[in-house]
Amino acid sequence: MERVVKLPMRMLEVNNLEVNYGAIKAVQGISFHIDEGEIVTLIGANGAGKTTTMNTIIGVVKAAGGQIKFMDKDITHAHSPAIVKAGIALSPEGRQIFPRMTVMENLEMGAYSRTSKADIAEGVEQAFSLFPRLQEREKQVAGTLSGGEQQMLAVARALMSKPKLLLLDEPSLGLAPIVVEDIFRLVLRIRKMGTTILLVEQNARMALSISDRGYVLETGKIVLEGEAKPLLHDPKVIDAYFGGLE
Amino acid sequence: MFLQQIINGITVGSTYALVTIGFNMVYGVLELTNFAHSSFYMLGAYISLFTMTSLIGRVTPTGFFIGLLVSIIITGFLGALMDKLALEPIRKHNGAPISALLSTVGIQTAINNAILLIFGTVPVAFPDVFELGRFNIGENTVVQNIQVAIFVLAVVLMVGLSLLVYRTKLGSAMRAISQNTTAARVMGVDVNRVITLTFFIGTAVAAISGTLVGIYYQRVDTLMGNAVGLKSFAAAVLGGMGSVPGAMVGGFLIGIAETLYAAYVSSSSKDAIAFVILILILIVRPSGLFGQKSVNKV
Repeated sequence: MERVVKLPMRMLEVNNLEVNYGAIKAVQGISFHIDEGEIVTLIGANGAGKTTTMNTIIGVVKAAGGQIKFMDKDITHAHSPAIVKAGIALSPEGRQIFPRMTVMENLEMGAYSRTSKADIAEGVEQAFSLFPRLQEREKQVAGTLSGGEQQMLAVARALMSKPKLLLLDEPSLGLAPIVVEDIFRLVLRIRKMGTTILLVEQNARMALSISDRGYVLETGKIVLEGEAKPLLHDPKVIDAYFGGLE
Repeated sequence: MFLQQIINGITVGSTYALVTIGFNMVYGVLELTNFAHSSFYMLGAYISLFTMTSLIGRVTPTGFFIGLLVSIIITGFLGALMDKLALEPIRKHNGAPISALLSTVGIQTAINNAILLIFGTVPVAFPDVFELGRFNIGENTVVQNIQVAIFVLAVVLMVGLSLLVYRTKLGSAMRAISQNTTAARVMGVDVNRVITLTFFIGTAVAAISGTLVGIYYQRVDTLMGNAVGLKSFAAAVLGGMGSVPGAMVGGFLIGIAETLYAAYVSSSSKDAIAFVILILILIVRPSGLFGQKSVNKV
């Protein structure tokens, strides 16, 4: 008896992506992919091109070369509104919440691409079940939240567009270790809900421990890639990104 | 006497408030001081008048409303066009804020001179098509019905614009852009479209205000934009740059202060009072009455 093995769908495919900031070549021809249901992480030091890659996928930064395909559609030169509508959302590095809007208004901005009131209400309900803390602070102005709460808001806001692919840029940056654990547990929960995740992290060990696969970026190039488990024990990764403590 | 001056002041203040709201909406979204704003105010008055008297040739209330409508559309469209042609390219290339500011000064000069060229330097009479009459409060306070109409229209517009900014999706997008443009883009906001719409709305409201001032004083002239431009700037600083409620309060306060000053101190130096207030506010409360203290949280 043969079972039909359903191949996972290719969600995002990045081919030879190049991004320049003026004369600086921030991303120099990287290729990677994410299948539906995966958590894939990009790790690397500051300036390796991780955030640039994320911003290029969402369309805020323009690619100089290469191709980005989302669910078989070329989105390399698409505008952000179209990309968000297609089903990608970014929780940006440094949270980037709207500081003078309330928690609720921030969430509503996250649902900007959606029109149905019922969908938005459902999104808010889901956000509050994932982040009960935000419900307590619903009417509070977002700029007055703690760093951890702002990070939760940034993730919740990104989920409001009901993305198929969630881009998480440095969700643990500047947070206390105990909060970092919370955030990573939530990432796993979000995946369980059916969202595919591309995670960018400096906290490489944490990121690899919850990911299926990983790519290591160095000054705009991918230098290492593979399943997350072997990468966790790869001496090169340990040397470069775990602070040599192993 | 005093009540009379207050009533006159509220009327003038209503028109200042309307100009300031449009000015402040643009500032709120872009942090750009639009020097051309008062030119659109003047242009709006001219287009209303010209449409009514020359194009359709009906000096009647209907003619007035058609003229006003045409003026709102054309002026708003030109405001949006200014953004598309002169400002959007600067944003696209991450130009310095001063470049955009200087562009608006250039547009101001262009519009003012175009008006001089087309309509001439002589003030033009704006016929009082409504002849609304007046009524008395007590013995010696006269209220013209046109004053009531201007006040009511201004309040309706202010409430409408406040609802737009604080209760609609477009308004949320405007506020989001002003607080964090990149994040707004990440949420899927078409930033340039929202900014262009903001210019359309702001300049369209300026056209309404210019037209109201024209019919109130029963004349339009090529200098009417200058003083108002500077005063609406003072009103914006007084109320708080970028704040819609601040623009209203600032506009009314400047209008009333100026009228009282003209009545009791000196009418020849009344234009200075707005700037005395401006200087005092800058010393005592630089962020204005409703302004956000600029917080740059890292």
